[in-house]
Order: sequence, then structure tokens, then C-alpha cells
Amino acid sequence: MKKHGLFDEIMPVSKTPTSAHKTGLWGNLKPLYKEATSPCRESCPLNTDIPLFIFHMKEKDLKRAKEEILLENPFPGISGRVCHHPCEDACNRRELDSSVSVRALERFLGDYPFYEVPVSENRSPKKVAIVGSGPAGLSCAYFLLRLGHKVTIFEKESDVGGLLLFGIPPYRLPKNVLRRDLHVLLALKPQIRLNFELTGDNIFSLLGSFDYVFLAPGMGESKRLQVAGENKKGVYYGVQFLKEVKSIEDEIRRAIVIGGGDVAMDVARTIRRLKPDAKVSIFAPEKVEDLPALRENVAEALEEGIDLICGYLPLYFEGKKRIEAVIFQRTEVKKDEKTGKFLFIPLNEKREEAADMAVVCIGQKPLEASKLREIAEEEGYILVDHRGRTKIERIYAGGDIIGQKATVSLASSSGKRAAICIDMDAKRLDLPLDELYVGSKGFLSFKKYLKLEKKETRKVVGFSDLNTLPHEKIPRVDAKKEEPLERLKDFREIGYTYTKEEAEKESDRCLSCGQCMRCNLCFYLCPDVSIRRKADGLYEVDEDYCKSCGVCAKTCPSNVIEMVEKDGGAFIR
Amino acid sequence: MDTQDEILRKGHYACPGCGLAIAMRLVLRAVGRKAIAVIVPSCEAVISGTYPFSALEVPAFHSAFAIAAPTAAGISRALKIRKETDVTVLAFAGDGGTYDIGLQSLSGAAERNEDFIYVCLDNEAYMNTGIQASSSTPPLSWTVTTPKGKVEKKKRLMEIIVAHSVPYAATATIGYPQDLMEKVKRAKEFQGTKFIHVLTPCPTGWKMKEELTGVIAMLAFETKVFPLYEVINGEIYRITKVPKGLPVRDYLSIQGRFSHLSEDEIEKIQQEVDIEWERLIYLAKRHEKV
Amino acid sequence: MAELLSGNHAIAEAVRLSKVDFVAAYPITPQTPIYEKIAEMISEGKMCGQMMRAESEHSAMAACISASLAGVRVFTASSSQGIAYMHEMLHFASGCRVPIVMACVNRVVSAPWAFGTDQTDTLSQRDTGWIQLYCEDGQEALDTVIMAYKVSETIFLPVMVIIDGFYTSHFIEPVEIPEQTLIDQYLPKRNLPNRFDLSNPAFLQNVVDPPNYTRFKKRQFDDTLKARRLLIEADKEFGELFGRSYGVVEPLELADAEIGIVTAGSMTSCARIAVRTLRSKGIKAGLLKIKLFRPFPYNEVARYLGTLEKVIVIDRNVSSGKGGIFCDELKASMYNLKNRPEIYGFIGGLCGEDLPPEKFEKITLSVLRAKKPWDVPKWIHRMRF
Repeated sequence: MKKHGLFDEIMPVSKTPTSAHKTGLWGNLKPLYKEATSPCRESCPLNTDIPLFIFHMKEKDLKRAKEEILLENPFPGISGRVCHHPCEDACNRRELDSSVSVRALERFLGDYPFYEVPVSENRSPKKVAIVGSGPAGLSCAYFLLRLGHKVTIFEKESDVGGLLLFGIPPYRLPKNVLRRDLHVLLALKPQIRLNFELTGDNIFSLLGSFDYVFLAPGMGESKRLQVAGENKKGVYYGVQFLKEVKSIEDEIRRAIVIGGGDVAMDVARTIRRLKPDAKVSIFAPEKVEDLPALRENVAEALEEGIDLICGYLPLYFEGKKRIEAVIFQRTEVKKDEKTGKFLFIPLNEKREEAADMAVVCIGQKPLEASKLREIAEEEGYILVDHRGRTKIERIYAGGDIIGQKATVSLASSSGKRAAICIDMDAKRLDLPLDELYVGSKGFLSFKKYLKLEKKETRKVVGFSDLNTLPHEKIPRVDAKKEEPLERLKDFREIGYTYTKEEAEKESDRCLSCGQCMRCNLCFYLCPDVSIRRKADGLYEVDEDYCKSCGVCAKTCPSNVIEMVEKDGGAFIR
Repeated sequence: MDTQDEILRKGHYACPGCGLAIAMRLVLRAVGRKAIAVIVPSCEAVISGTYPFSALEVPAFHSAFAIAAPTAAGISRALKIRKETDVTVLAFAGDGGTYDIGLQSLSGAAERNEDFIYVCLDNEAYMNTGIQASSSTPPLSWTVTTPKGKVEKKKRLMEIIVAHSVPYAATATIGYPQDLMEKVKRAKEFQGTKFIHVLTPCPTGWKMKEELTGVIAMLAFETKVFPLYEVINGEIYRITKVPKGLPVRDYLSIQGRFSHLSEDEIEKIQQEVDIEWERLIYLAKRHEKV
Repeated sequence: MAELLSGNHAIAEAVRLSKVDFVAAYPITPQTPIYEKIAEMISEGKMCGQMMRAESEHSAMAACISASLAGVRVFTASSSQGIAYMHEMLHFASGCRVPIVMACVNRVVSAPWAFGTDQTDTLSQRDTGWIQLYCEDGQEALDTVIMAYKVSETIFLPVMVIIDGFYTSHFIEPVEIPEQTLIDQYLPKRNLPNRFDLSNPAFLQNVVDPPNYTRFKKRQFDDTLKARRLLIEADKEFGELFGRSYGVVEPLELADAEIGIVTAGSMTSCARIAVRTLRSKGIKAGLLKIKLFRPFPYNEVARYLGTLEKVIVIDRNVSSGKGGIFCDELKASMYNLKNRPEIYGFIGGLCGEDLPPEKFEKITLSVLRAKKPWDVPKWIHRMRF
């Protein structure tokens, strides 16, 4: 320390740094940075760390953002278009204005051209046969491949994709998007055998040449109404219709679609495109607010001029050879609180609707249950335990066949579960599954399995845990969409992927629940200069000077700071 | 990282959760090392250290209470005489030292447009001497000298400053550190008297939990109790951030100094805050029309 | 070269000659002409340096202190209420050890409101730690300002150069203005240290504990005492260069005197005439003009007055309930002398009331007749001679 000389002697000239005072002794608490789980992630069947990939987007690191998604979800381009997005329903931002458009952000990243994923080293890879190349089979293949196993995919059709390929019309999921998402998987080099017909016998021969078999054949058959006149000409069934009907030659004035799910919407919208002059009506048993179809799908159907009449089920079809009318009965749908099943209660009101064609879209069931008799239950469903195992050793199953709600993300999730559990079995790992859960919904996290997870996955951050004062109300960014009449001209995809600017704007809306967004509020608001920013953007605490005020923890907009006892224990105060 | 920008040192003697320490820290960070600070009696003097310690990594002078502004003016003049023109002179004073005892000297310096940045660290009472009311204490607030709540309004200091046509005047709060630091940096670009009025919550004097300092500063803004704006040349008002307009109750209810308020009194404060906000809007719009 | 100048303007010339960098002041009668003249000289380019129009004496002193800490030569001037108003900062200045020179033009401190001269304004700043120099006329004031900078910047203590309001401040007399080159030789432009060192930052004047407070105060006290010696040297050197010197006190006819008169400020001139007259009448009277009041010139007072039988102190000031301040200080300073004189205190000339030579003569004659001194001073205006 240089001295002023004379002045030091004649007046107070203070130069000794106050850092000589260890004022941290005043308090026994310190901030601990611990990122936790966001409700969106907890609700996601694939456990995608949504605030984290959005954080990377905010940091303009799209590669890392996509890597983060690909850690849990093999097909962001697909789920960015067709996912039922429970994340958005769980989004804390709904309490502030409206949820973050997670699906649109995922779509943006899905379309971002980056398709490489790392493969874990595996000294004793297993051979796994995967039957069915829908979302469950492909997902299982993807995660097994990332774990270094050898995978062969068996597909009944002449192309992979299953329901993704033929069950969702191209205006919602274009084929090129499917192909693009599959780049990632295909780069991992699975064997693929097309035109493979699953039989009761060849399952067991697969067991002979493979270490494990994963069954995800999907549900090949549409449910029937079991009403009179159902086999008349002009009556079709949902998934088959979507898969097989490329054009309608007959003159159609009035088409009726029966059902309230996405298949019903998709069928109605397909007919609107094939027969622009026909009047298309959907009759659904459920109330409008209870329709199982995606909100967006219903809204777009209505925009495209389709009628939606809720609260009816057909009693019978009328007509000579071809149907001429459908007779409906007013129906009330009630949920049985005990079994959770939906009950259809007929009411005393009938309604007759003229129709040239009718498409029944009341759900799917397993195809030819008898083929899988050894494994399947009577109705053809395959029961699995919480690890995705069937009653036969080394055979796992997933997707719609296990009787879960038929969504792409749930199907993918079941494929991921089987992949992880097959790997654990192969490695004789006796790991309780709840150690791989994120939140309380029982979905497995691949990131946790790879021990890459740094967040606290038991704690789910609620809206009231956040300091939302720094956040403004910002309207959701809606991607551009064509006018309804424009859309009807062909089967091209509806709606655009976010532009970079739109994606940036929407990602800024994320409240980053439980995810440090490096907003620096903790750093700037530390009165005691005790929080340091590290080169990686994260923070560290100087316990020697932290007086335990807790301003950082209370101010944190993301609830990632908790006040905990200092290592040195308690002092004065 | 960042330590080279840190001018307030660790180990100072501010109370835990001190808003004033945060403000000093942010202002000093924004001003940088080529600065000389004037400190006057107040909590800032406690924070800055007792002999032979200093919490400041810039030269500083602990002057007398009423004279933050002329002291800064003297240094700034001397630097110009010495042709050291790249050094910023910074005057820190509390609300007592600014609104009350230092107002005359600040007015004189502002009228002469002396070249320095004056930062009023407003914790709304004489906190260092034990929470006595100042003319910055908000109406109905408890202090030891207004045990049943202060009757008078809070002095509209910014308008007094603006009346001097200073080149730059701004309000800021620690709740929005970026805004605060940007304003300090902006102030540096002007020649003459720059005034920054910083609301610095005081857990001790406001009778609230220490951890609330940051949140209460944000609430002061979001409830329009303490709007953020700047005024250029005493003429052009610009609202720098638009508050959410949360009810003042959100701000008042977590502070012990307002715990005695009745519903009617809260409503009265709400009305006064709304009127003040309208005034500010009027002032900001008045310029737009020109 | 002599010019006809008022005392105020003589001081302004001294400020110019001293090449002061920074002047902060506030108007008050009878000091204002100093302030005005400096402003005029700066605006006409006759003087370099900056003028700050302070909004109060308190702020003027505040700015002088901080500017001085930053290493420039500063000056201010004040009177009466103004000096009282800056009282807080006077303590602060000496504690900051800043070399400020302030011209004080004595005037009554109200109330009652009045404007004539009265040294109570400066004398009541006795304990603020400033060096105080009382001047008799404009020439002495000019010379003393220049000497004050030399002393002040050596010992780092502030100095008051004091003249009587109106008598000295406004009376126009021939004043010799020294050559700038000689002044530059006498008072070179010192490179004063900027105590705000960016490369070695320090917090100046922060709170100290009792031992350190005492240490700094003791150092200040000791350095203040040293200022006497420095002033004697500065005065001597000034005399050698310019042919004028004043001493810290000025004795007149005291060598063989029976009775001595003690004065400070402009009244000394009349006292000089009185002494001459008394001497012509065969009365062995002498005179001691006190110039340096702080630090107190113990040695000189003892040397020149210690052997006298009687000493008269005329005070143009009053400490109510006690007496004239010079008288009291003198009494106290001589108490420990073995053969101390009898000291007779008078208060007079307050508010600029005239003190003509005849009054000094009559007072002297009355004291010669007095049998023993009194404690409570006699008030000249009610005396019947």
C-alpha cells in the first residue's frame, strides 16, 4: 500500500479494505443455488426439460437447445406439431397471462437442422427386436441405440412411421417432417425390416435370435358402433379411412363423422378437402369442452366450415344399399368416478340426419387379438408392468397396445421406458424406477438415467414460488397460419414454423420456473457483494461476507435459490 | 469475472438486506473507477467504513451533512483546473441530506450546473440516527418522530430538481438494477449537474423482513408509488418503464411502518398515488405534443 | 508602485498576485468588494482562476475545502453572519488540514442588526483551528494574504487574514503593489497534492475512534503552534524582498515604557498617535499591536509586556459575561509569569464607533491613576474623562 506520507499522519486517510471484516459471521444462512422441476416438465410424458431448452434458445444457442430436447424426445418436429401439450396446460405463466407456446417452440427446434446425438459406450450391447415403427417403437429404438445396443425394427408396412405416417393427415404432419425427425434415429443405424407381419409364432422365433423384443404394433382395427345398418355402403371407419381413402368418387352432399377425437376431426377435415362441396358434420358424444381432440384441431375444423354437434351417438343407419340417414340419440357422457371409465347414458331424444356417407371414429382396438394370444389379454391388449415388461420374459411392450391414452408423447414415453428398463436388465442394474422420475407423474427421464440431471427433480416449482414482478404481461406469439379457404385447396401443412424472431419473442415469455436464467438479480441485489458470477454464467457465494439476508432468494424470479445453513454452522444473531 | 467492476468492497457494516448498500454498489459499478465519491453523514458513511478501513475502491471524502453538492462541485472544479477532465465526481446523500438539510446547497450547485452526478439514496427517513421522519417520509408512515403516522405528504423532490433545468434527472430503484445502472451511465454522458433519485428500501426502518428489500423495491415501482422516469434539460419527461399498476396495498401491507393503516387510509394513499401518476403522464405527454 | 486602494481591493490584488486557482464566495457587507473585484479581474482576464458563486458561506467553504483537497489554491472572504454561518465548515477545514486563506472583514454579528466593525465575528471562531492574523491597514492586508499562503501551504492549516470593516475595508490609501515576478519568487506556484489519488484510493476523513481522534487533534494542535515560527520566517523573508515586515506582534516604544497599550486591527493607527502624544508629554507609554492571535504569541507577549507595570487592553469585541477577548487571552497567557503587569481591560469602538487618539490618551492617564485593576472591563463610551 502506497502512502500519502504527510497526510496519513495529519488526517484520517483510510485505505485498508473492509474485506478484513468477515461480516459473514453475522448470519448463519447462505444461498444455495438448486434448480428444480418446472410443472411443464413434470407434466410432459417425455420429461423434456422445457425451461432449459428455452433457456438455451434465449441464449441463442439453438444447437444446445435441440440437444436438450433430443435427450428426452426423439421427434421434436413431430411432437412440435401434434403433441397434446400437457406442458402448456401446466404452464405457470397461465396465472400471469397465458401459457408459453411450448409446442410451437419445439416445432421451431424440430425444424432446426441439427441431427446428431451422442451414443453411450456399451461394452456388451444387446440385440433388440422392435416390432412396430410407430412412435413407441421408434422411440424405444432411439433410446436403445443411444445406449449402444443393436436394434432391428420390424414393420408391417412398406415404410416406417406407423400411425405417424398414415394416421395423421399431412396438413397436420407432413411426411417430410417425419422423415426429417427420423434422420436422428436413422443416423444411429438401426436395422429395418419392412413388410414384416407379426404372428403369434414369429414373436418366439424373434426371442431366439434377439436378446429382447419390444412389441409396439399399435391398434390396427377401428372400433365398431355395433348398431344396425353399420355395414351399409358409405359407412367407413376412421383410421382405415385416413390410411386408405385418397379420393372419393361418389357424389357426396352430406358427410357425417361420428366421434370427438382427433381422428374424427382429421377425417372430417380430409373430407372437406376431398369434397369441397359437401356439407361435413361431426357428431360427438362428448360435450364440446370435454372433446378428447386437440383444441387446435377442433378450432381448425370449425374454421374450415365443419359443423360440430355435441351430445349424440348413432342409434342406427338408414338406407337401402347405401346409407341415406343416421338416426342419433341424445347421449350424456359421464365419468365413472370409481373405474375412471366413461359411461354413455342415452337420453330420450332422437335426431335424424340425412347423409351420403358416414365415418365412424370412436377409437381403435388391437388387431386380430388371437395372433398374440400367448401374451395378450382377451381383448388383445398387452398388459405390462411399471417397467414395460409383459408376462413373458425378455418381451417388453409399449404404445397404444398397452391400453394407455393414445397420444404420440405417451407412446414415445412408453418406448423410452422399455429402452431404459431393457438396458437396466441387460446391465443387471437394480435401480428403483422412482429414482428416474421427474416430479410425481411417473414418467422416466433418460437424462436422469444418464446421470446428466443437475436439477432437484422432486421439487416442482409452483406459480406462488416465483417472483413474477420482473415479468410483464406479454401476449402469446401465434405463428402465422393460412386463411381457412386457402387451406382447403390441398393437403399442405397448415401454419408456419416460428421465424427466428418469433421464437425469440416467445421464448422470452418463459418464466423459467426452477431454471436459472442468469438474470443476475441475485448478483446485483446482493448488498454484501457476496455473490460472484463465474465464467460459465452461474454464481457462487462468498460465505465469509454473506450476512444471510436472503434478498437473493426472495427476489429470484425462478425460485432457484434456497437459504440453507452455512457449512460453518451458526454464529451470532 | 466481474470483480474488476466491483468498487464497493465486501465486509462493510450495512445491516443485512440493506437497500442503500445495493444502490451504492450498483451506482459505483456503473460509474467505474475513474471517479471520486463524496459521502455525507448517513448510512452511506457507515457502509463506506471507519478509519482506517475503506469500503470504496475509489477516492472518497466524508464531508459534512448539508454539503454533498458543493463539496462535489469543489472537487469537480478543481479537477477541471487541473485538467483532469475524465474523472466523474459522484455525490451520495441520503434523503435527509438531500430533501432537508442539503436542499439549499444542492439547489445552488444545480443552478450553477456544477459538473457531477448527485445520487440521492432515499430510504424515506433519517435511518442512521434511528428512523426519524424526513420530508421524504411518505404520508401516514410510522417513524419514531411520527409515532401515529406522518401527516404531511412526501416532498416532490424531482420537480424541485427539474425546476433547475439540470441536463439530466432520473428516478431509479434497486429493484431494477439494469435500469439504475443504465441511468447512471447515461448521466455520465452529460456535462453539468446530473441527479439520480434512488429508492433504497430499508428493512430496519420500514419494519419488514430483510429478505424483502428487492421485492419491495419492485413493488414500489409496480404500484406506481415510485415511478421510473427521466427528465432531460428540465423539460422532456420520459417514463422509462411502465408499471403494472398493482394496488398500493400490495406494497404497504408487507411493511410494518404502514401496519396501522385503516382501509380508508389505504384507499386515500391509492388515490394520491393515482393522482401523482396522472401528473407524470401529463408531464410526459405534454412534451410529446410539442 | 503604489496605487490608491481600499483595503478590500488590496486584498483582491493579493489574491491575484497569489495566483489563486479557485475562489468560492458569497456576498456580504463589508466584504463584498473583494468578491466583486475578483470577479471583475477574472472576467477581464487580469486574473486566472475560477470563481464559484456559492449560494451560502457554508457552501463556499465546503467547496473551498474539497477543491483544496483536490490540490488547487483556494480563497474565500466573508464577514459577520457569513463567518458565523460557515462555522461548521471552519472546524471541518482545519480538521481536513487544507491550506485555505480567507479574508475576514470584521463586522458586528447581529442581533441587533448593525454593520460597523467588531472583531467578535472572527474572535468567536477562535477555537475552529484557524490561524488568525489581524491587519492594521490595506497594505498589511495585501502583504499578509501573500504570506498567509506561504505559511498555510507549508503547515496545511487554514488562515484568516482579518481587517476591520469600513475603516480598513473601505478607506482608500496608497498601497504598494509588489511585482508579480517577485511574488512568484516569494510564493512559487506549489504543486499542491491532489489527495484524491485514483491510483491509490483512500477514504478521507471517515469516522475515527477516540485514540485516533486525539492523535489527529494533538497533531493539529502542535502544527498550529509551529505556525508562529513559520510566520516569523515568512515575514522576515517578505521583508527582505519587499522592504515591509510586520512580525507576529509589533512593539512600539515598549523598551522603557511604564505602561503599554495593546491593540489589534485598525485602531492601532490611532493608538500610535496617542503614544507619540503621551511620550511628548513625558509619559512613558508604549504600544503592542497583536497581529497573530492564533496560534497565540506567548513568547512575544511575555517579552514585550512582561516587564511593564501596567498594561491596557482595548477590545473592539466582547464576550458577554466575561470581557474583551484579547484582554482575557492576554491575562491568561501572562498568568504564569513571575512579575506580571496589572492588566486593565476596556471595551470600545464596537460597531465601528470612533476611537480617536484622544481616547487612548485619556484611558492611559486614567489607568496611570488607577490603584488596582478590575475584573470586569470598563466600557469606553460611558467613561467620563
